[in-house]
Amino acid sequence: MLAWVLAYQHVKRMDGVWFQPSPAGAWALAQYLAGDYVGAARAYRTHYREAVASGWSSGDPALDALLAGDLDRAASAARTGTSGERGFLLTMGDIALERGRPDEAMTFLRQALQRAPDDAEALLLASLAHARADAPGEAIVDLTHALRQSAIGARVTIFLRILETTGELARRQGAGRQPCLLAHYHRYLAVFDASNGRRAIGYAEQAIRAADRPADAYLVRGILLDRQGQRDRALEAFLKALEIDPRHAEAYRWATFIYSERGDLRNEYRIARAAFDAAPTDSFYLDHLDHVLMERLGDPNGVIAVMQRVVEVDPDNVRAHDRLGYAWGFIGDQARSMSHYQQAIRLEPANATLHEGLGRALHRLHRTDEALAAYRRAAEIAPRRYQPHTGLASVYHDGRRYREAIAEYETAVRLGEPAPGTQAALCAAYHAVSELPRAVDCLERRR
Amino acid sequence: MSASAAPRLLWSWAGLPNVLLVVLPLAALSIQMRYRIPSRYVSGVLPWIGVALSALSLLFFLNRLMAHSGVGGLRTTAERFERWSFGASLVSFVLAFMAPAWLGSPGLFPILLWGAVGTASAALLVYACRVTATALSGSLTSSFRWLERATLLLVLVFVGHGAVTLVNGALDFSAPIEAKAQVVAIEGVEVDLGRFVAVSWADLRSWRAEGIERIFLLERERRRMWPGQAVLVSVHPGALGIPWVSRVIRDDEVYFRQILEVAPTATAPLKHLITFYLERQRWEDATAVAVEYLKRYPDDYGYIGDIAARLAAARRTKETLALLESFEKVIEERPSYPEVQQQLHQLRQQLGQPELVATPTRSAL
Repeated sequence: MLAWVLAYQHVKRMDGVWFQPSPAGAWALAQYLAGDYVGAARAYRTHYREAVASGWSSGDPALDALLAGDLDRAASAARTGTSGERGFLLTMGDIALERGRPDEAMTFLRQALQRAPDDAEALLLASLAHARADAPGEAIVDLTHALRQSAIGARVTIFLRILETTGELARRQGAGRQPCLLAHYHRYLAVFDASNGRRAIGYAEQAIRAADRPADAYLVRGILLDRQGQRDRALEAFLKALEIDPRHAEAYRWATFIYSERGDLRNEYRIARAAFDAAPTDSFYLDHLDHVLMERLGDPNGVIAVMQRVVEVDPDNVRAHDRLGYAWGFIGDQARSMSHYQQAIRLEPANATLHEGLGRALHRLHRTDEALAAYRRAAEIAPRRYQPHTGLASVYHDGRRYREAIAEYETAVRLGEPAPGTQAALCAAYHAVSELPRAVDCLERRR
Repeated sequence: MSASAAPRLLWSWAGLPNVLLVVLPLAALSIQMRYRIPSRYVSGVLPWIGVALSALSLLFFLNRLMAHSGVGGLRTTAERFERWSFGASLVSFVLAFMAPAWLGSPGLFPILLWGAVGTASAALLVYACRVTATALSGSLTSSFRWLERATLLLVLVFVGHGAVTLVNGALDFSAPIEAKAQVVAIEGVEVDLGRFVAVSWADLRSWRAEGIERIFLLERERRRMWPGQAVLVSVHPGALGIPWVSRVIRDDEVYFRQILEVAPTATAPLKHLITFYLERQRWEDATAVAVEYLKRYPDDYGYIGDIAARLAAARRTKETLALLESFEKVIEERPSYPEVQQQLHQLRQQLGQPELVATPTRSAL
């Protein structure tokens, strides 16, 4: 009875990907549950091959051909297919891996990653290519990078290949077993079946004992403990990872999650700052630090200090100039704010929010005509945004050009401006031009 | 049937013992979470209460099953049910993997699979109960009854402690005293009280003497607490003279000052500190932090004006003036802010010091 309850609890938490409606699917599930990941991956491949032969489709002809085992057809479908250059590069990488050529796979995947460095599927395939090429360190880096994303993709070949690679690595004995990489692949598989989390922790502990990338191993251990709700123990693991490698940005990031959940803003900021110091060019950590500084601490001076460091390293960083423009404006130094917005616009002229920021700074500097021009440019770039119209209206309003202000306020409200202050300003503008019935009606609507 | 036997039968058939077994310990636990008496022992007893309750439920069930007169017929029916449902489960399981491909209908897969799991679960449950009841013969009955009573005693002691806690807390209408403490450790356990209840407690450095105080934590408190954290504990004297705790909150004064150590230019902790001091009527502290804020963010005259107005409304003339003096310096440096002048004018009028109203205006001119 107890065994049945435990089995039921296990199965209930498994993703649908494990349950495929065919005899091959049932066999694959049985092998997976018995711990034979290589056998399970092969049986799932049989299931998909039969499914494609009987008319099922993943929606991508190249992927269908790959699942059917027809690599040449997959390559030609990828070249002529509708999934674009990304789809082509991923399929060619997948095919090269299938043919046992990890170096060739990496040439395609590097191109995909140059186009989109955070592409989770490309990173997962790159991790597999590194694992095949016996480069576990790089495989771990790419996998960790991929799992930073909220979505890890739906390409079934990746799932099957990771399942198979995990099984193959687990079969190895001695030094070739690479427990840290095994822990990471089990972390990936735990997304689909939480029971892999326990195995991941087990392999992570083996890796720690064997000194096989112990900081990464502690990170995996902490992440899985966190998923099990053991936050204090997870934090201990992250801090241990940082003790071993004080520049492990991902361990810092996970530690900040726990501090944030606790409401420990001091440590959240301290650790977010350390993550940024460890990887100052990675926007992933910069965004989080920016959020903590501006939204949680309300520290424009802190934002300025951080973003100026980013600009020193990367003078063409649009986001840094944007944030500097915002922070200087917040403090009251409109000249500096304007200068940074101008630099950002030079780098990314089609970004409406930058023109809005510039308009705001110019307005505060009482350079009315230039402010109006900046807001108009923003409205041209993004005609559906209400912000440029709110900006235009406030410039007109301050210049006592009430009729023009009314037109812009009305447009902003029509486009979804939610701020009650804008609505109130519209009512005041009606009153200013003696349109009293409309002013009364406007105020009635505000109630 | 005798008159005394009727209520007992009703009691037994209505399933009241089992219901009370769930309700009373849960109620006792929730009372102890509400009117928390610092104690190192209750948390240690909790897991045993869970075990006792699980054992008691099983003992109740087995004792009644063994006492049931028509048990033979029941066993035959159960055996038949097990055979049929196990067979149906097996068929459903095989069909789950075969039928969707044959019929071209993938939607059948989850229905058949869950059907198989459900019928197999029911068959196994009935089987387990039947085999246990058969294995336990009459010789064990009296031992089981004794075990039942002993276990029940432990549960009743726990429920009794809950009743004392209720009287001590619910009848205590005195205002709490806010005491400073520090979290030393946080622990927890999952107790089976008919349903699983997560119970956490914290060891705090004592606010009344040397040593450690252990108190239960509510879930919202647990989530926002960590070892080393400074906290404020609301302590009541208790109607029976046993001190109890109604609230444990973060000590915002320590918390925000710690944040300012690492982020000295942050506005949010300064503003929170000002609010904290104003709420506790610590006017001088509020003014000192407001002045500090003004030094860092001299442009935020709207906020500082609001604080000055709140101090004035509380008739804290000395503190309001202290803030206004800092304000005046800012105005002298930045005379282009007519809003500040206006605000200052209003504040001085609020203070009932019209002779001071003209001063900043003159300096601005």
